Amino acid sequence: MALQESKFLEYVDRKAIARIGGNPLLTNFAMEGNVSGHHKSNHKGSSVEFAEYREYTEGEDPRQMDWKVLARTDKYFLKEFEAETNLRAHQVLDCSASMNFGKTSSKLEYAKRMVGTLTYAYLNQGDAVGLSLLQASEHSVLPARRNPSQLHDILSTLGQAKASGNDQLVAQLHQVAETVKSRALLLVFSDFFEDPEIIEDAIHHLRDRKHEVVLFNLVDRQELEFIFDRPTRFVDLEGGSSILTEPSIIRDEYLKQMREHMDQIKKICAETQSSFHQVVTDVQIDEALSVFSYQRTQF
Amino acid sequence: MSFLQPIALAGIILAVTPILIHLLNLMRHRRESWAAMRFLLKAKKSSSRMSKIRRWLTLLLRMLSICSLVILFARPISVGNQSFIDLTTKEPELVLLVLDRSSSMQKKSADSSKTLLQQGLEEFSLLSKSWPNSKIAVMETLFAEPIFLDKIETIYSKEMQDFMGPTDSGANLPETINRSLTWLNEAEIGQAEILVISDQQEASWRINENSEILKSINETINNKQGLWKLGFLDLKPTKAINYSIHCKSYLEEAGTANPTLLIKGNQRDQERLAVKIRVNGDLLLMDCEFTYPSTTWTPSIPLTGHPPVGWISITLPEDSFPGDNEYYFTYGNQSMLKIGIAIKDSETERFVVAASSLDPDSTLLSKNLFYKQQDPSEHDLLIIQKDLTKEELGFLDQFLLEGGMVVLFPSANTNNENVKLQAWSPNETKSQDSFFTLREWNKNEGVFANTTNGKELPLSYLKIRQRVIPQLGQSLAFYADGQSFLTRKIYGQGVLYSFSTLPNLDWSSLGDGFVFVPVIQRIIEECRQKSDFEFIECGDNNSLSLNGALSITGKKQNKPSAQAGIYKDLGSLFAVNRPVGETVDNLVEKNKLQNIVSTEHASWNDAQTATSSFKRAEIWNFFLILMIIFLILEGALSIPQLTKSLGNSRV
Repeated sequence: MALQESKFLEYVDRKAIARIGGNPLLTNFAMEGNVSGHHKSNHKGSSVEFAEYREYTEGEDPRQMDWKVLARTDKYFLKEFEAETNLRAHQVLDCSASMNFGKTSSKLEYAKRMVGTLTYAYLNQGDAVGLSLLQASEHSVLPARRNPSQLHDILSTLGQAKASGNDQLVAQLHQVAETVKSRALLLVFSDFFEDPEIIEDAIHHLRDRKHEVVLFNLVDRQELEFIFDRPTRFVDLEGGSSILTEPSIIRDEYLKQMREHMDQIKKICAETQSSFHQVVTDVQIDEALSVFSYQRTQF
Repeated sequence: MSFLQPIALAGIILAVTPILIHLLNLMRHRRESWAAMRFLLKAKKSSSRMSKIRRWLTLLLRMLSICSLVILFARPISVGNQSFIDLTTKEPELVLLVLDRSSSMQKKSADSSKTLLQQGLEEFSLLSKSWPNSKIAVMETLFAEPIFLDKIETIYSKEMQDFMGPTDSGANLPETINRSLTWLNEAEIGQAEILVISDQQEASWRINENSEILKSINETINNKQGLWKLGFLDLKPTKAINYSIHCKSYLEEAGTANPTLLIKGNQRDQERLAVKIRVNGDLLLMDCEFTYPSTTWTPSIPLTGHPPVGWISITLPEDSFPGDNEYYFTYGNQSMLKIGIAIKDSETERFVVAASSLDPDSTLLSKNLFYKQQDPSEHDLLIIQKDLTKEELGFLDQFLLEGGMVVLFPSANTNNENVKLQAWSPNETKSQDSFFTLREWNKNEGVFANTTNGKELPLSYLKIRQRVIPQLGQSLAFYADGQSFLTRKIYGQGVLYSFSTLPNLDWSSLGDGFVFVPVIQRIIEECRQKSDFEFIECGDNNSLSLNGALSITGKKQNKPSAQAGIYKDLGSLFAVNRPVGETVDNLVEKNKLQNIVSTEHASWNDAQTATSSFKRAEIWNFFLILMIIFLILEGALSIPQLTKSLGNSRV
């Protein structure tokens, strides 16, 4: 359920911030930022991190000349340092009706909290943060900015987001791949209940655009374990179709299907050097993000 | 297969309950919004055929479990040779109970607190419910007359107690069964189930004596080719503490009554029993030192201060079966001992008459037993020395079987070959100066016992010139060459003494009287004791003829034919006791009985518990096991299969 505007800050989990705020959330790949930051850049810069020696060619800036080498060897070498820049963390939130599922809180609400918390964390470390809401009716996009007011904008946008309509994830991911011009870290929050083949196409598209992709697979405990004690009519949240069945009979097959689906997505992520995080929505946000944060600080 | 509670079969409709519950569950299903629909659809589509089979198999097993439970409650029984899977109803025209009403049926059952008789009637009641449309009849051992019952519950009614209630009588089961079969034949009963309920006491069956009757029963049942089925229900009595008493002999002298009592017990220890003796109702306590397994006890009961004619009861302490703890006597009823003589040799007759008539006040002698118009069966003792005709031999046989006493002397002029009662060896005669002499005899008891002042009878002085050795019976005295001088043989209920020589000077010196007179007197005394001790037994002909008598020691409605006690009829007192056989715990040799009654239409069953049906009928056990198996299988099918955990990379 969407929060009132005054309560948008509730989307920022304080415990999670306290837990992950001490360490910067880094990226696997070099980023193209416009200001200095914590992330590796694809350009050489003037940071303290030594990169390489390179022979001087005419026309280059002599300020990077290593004079000591020249004195010793009488050769002109340039000493280059790693450039560190900020990143564009673009968060993509699936707002299809299937995200409305959840016993205690819906997957969408849980995802909003994760998005809100990560927005705060990235902005706090000087990165630009953007947001795309994948909705059936419209595709809301907040371009990545590192202005502190971006937090308010993103939280407001999240507050108004509602889960409805059919799954448009793949189509809109292709759109995101096209609209986000420069390299970015794409954080995708969805249940990924689509064909793995077309998800694979979308991820490949994103990777082709040099984006680093992180998938947050949000699942409810009930979806994961499928424990029901009596006949149940299951009504599709996205289409309205229904089936009446004895869960105990099909449980094994259901779990098998689900397992195969997840395995396929994991395989795609491994192939495309993307990250995959399955998050069960009964786990505390700080717990879920601490694992993500731990992986992000190891680079 | 039949059912004791067929009404319970209506519950079979409950077998559809699992299907109903299944359908109801489907109808009242919950509604759940679901996101991961694609997996559900795939799962349902590829839900294996085995899952469906499992579901229907589970339902089927539940239905079968309920069916087994319902059948179990309906108390299924398999009767006789009928297989329990044979569901065709074969109701007999008549269900006949042959009921052992002997005294021992009052013992407590080994399996319950009920008496064997109660247990037997309960078993019959259960069995008869298997055939609700069959007629029910009872043939009990006391009156041995068929009684029809309108409904089975009648067996417990007050009015039927005379025919179904406990008695102190004995029983002759083969005779009663045979009578039942004769009646069934006369009544032209087509199909019948005959149930014999008995505690298998040997005294109630007497297999040796009744072997011909049992063979006849076997043949009759066999000839009916399954139309009549005979079932024997064995009832096992408890082995709790029990003492029994019966009287071996009774003697009155010097104002005292001296019964010789045999007390038996089943406890392997020595115990002092506090015995209650009532003389005309006056209580007297005496202690009896009992030693396992039996003790002979001869209390001296003073009769001074009591009327010349009266009664005595002797009661052992209460135990698990009080029915055999009491014995009754009357005193002052002694009558003249009647001795019948049929002796051909005149000298022998002279000596016998002289030796027998020493006490003319208590003996009544009659000669020429078989020639006068007199009834030989009225005598107590017969002394015979003659060639017997076939009729006379038949009479003596019967006389002995019924408990009479006979003294036989060898016939002087024949080879004694035709005498059925005794096997005689050929006549042996010594020469003029040589004799047969006696060397050994029983000096402690019997007719040759030493006198009360310890003196031996002068048997060693006897000179015997001729002898004819009796081969049968127990030798009481022996010649020097080991042959028997005098034998004593138990014959039926009677006793047969056989001398090997005559009190005739041509035969021996027996006629001098030093040995012969005391021996004859002792035989007379034994006969008197036996004769005086001729108590009436419950259920015998005498007791039946006394049925108008008034009970002195029991309830007013007691009858001598059924209840032991003291009875008064026409001013005379009668002691009626249980038959001696009822105190003997020996059981019938079942193998022997089964060998004789070997027809395939006879079945042998044990009553395991008071409420159980026939052993062969206890097929509810089968359904109980079946139900448990169904439930276990159903449980096994319902166990969910283990699944691998999902998502190793779960956050």
